[in-house]
Amino acid sequence: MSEFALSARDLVRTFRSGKAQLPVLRGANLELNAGETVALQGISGSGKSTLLQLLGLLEPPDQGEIFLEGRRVDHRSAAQQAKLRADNIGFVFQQFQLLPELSALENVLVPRRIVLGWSWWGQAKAERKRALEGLAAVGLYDPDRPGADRSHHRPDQLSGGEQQRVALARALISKPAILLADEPTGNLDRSTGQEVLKLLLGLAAQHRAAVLLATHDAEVAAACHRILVLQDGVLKPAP
Amino acid sequence: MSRLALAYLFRRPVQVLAILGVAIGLLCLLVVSSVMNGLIADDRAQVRGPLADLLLVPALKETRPFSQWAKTLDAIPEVRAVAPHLVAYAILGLPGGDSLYSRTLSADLNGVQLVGVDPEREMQLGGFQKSVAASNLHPVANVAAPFASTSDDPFARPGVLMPEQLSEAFGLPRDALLEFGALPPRLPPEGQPLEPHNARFRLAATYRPSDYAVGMDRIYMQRMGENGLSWNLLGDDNSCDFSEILLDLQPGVSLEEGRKAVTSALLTAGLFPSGWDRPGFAGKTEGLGGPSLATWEERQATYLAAIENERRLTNLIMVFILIVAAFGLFATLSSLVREKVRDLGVLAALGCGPWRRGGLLLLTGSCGAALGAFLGWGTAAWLVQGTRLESLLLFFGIEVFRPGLYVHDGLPTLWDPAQAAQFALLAFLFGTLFTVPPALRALRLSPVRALRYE
Repeated sequence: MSEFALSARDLVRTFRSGKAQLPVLRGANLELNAGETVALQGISGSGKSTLLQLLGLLEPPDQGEIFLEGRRVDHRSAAQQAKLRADNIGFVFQQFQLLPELSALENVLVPRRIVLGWSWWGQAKAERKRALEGLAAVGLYDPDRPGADRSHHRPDQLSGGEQQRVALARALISKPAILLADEPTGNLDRSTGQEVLKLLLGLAAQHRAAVLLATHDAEVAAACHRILVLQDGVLKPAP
Repeated sequence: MSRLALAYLFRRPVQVLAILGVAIGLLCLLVVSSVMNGLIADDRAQVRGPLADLLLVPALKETRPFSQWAKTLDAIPEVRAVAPHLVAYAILGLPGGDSLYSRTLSADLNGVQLVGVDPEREMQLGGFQKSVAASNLHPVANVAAPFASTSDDPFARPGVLMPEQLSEAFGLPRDALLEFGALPPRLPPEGQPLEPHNARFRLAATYRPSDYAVGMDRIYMQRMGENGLSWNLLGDDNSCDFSEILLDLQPGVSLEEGRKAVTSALLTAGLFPSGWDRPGFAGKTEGLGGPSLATWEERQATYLAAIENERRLTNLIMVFILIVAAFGLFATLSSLVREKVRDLGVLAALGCGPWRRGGLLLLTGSCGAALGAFLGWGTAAWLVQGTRLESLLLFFGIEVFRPGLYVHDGLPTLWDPAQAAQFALLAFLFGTLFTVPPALRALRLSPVRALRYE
């Protein structure tokens, strides 16, 4: 098996409700190289989010295998998968999913706190600096322009675009090998969406992260290296 | 995660109320325990009353005089004071006035306990000295001779010391005449009549009994001599000249050490039957007619056990209140988990494992429990100092112990730091324990379901 950043083989996922069965993935295959950006398209309910969740190790597939940099990871325990997620995978959601009690800076720091555990306390200052750099990279912190500082604002004090920028800084702070984005511009207006997308792709390229981006937007998909379409439970290259 | 745990803790006012619930529960437990500690300490002092450290009761057929016992007892280094009591039961009447014998309301005052004492020896016992000094009604004029007359009457009747309450109940002035009718301490030989004796005495002074009802009808007088109980009331029946001997120990000598020393000395002197100190010796108990040597705590064992039991019961009830208070944390954290399902899903997506998600909720709950325990402990420690608790109760118009009705001066409180720490720890543990079920829910949460949760 060659070492793709992320690959999946014959993924099957079926939802069951009583006796009714709804097969969503029927043998999906995927190979994602480091630094590559791939758009994932498909009609609503085609299973895009489900595929991202399986690849993000949030739930196990019914069948099939998932490899992270060549290592099979789908059969690991929940705790081991959580550790793999923390170290290798960044998530960006359509609804931003920031923790409302924490400031923008604290939200960005959450993955670092999770990764570092108790050793956080010895590195808090350096990590804080790193998070501020992340916020600066998405345009929410500028030491020379205090008026532009949003680092201490809570999510409810930020606009949708600003919240998604924070979410992007959070997803990239641990320098993950893979970035999974589920409709990252779906809740934003066109121009803000374009700004966020530009940032996302730019920062991912800077970190050489492989990006799998689920989207309905053809313009967004066109900005990626490749486009895959999820249809009838299998992935196919876009025509 | 601690930052997030604290943010969750103070997210909603209801959680602050749950913390206050733990604090108030612990506050109640600690305040009630402190009051119970204070009452018990007070009660122990009160219930001891005129009793000394050790109480020696001679065998039923004892005929040797006190002087013979005193020789041995006075020589024991562990013993500080030795005082004999000659006890008799009598009926009290007031010459020249209503006898009060048949009055229903005052009938319980007519039966009295006469205690003949040697004043010099009795004054060396802490309890008696304190009782005499505390009286305000007719205080003892001369502590060295408490039964002496204050008048110049050369034919004055022998003096007695009466409890203040009894003297007040009869409205007796100093030097009032009292008449006692008493039966001899022992039954006469077969065929001979049981003849009561009566004699008049004079109220020399009053004392304030430190114990409860026991002290209400105890009347002290001279034990021996022309003015004594034996001469005036009990007649010459060849019985022993004392009913019991009270022994106070030197400071630092424990009750058990004192008892051992006294037992050993009495056995050596032949005043206790040989073998008395062996376990299960037949003549040991008073009930079987043998001599006995008991500590004051053994004498009041039933009462002390009762108040100790009362404390345990009260604490048990308060612990239940604490459990109910800690349950508040369970209720609010359970609803927090429901409310924060989506956040928990996000944390899972960011790499937070199941145990850490559970740990986050556990940390939230234990922080709440610790804060509640600290608040409750601190408030209780402040409240039980001095007269703060009493002032607080009085502010609400609550008077717990009415002066004159109870022997307590105010509301006694006694702060036991070790006990308080134990209860605070218990409150923390209960609070944390009730956090476990919501934490388990967070632990078992499916990240995907959590992210989909609306």
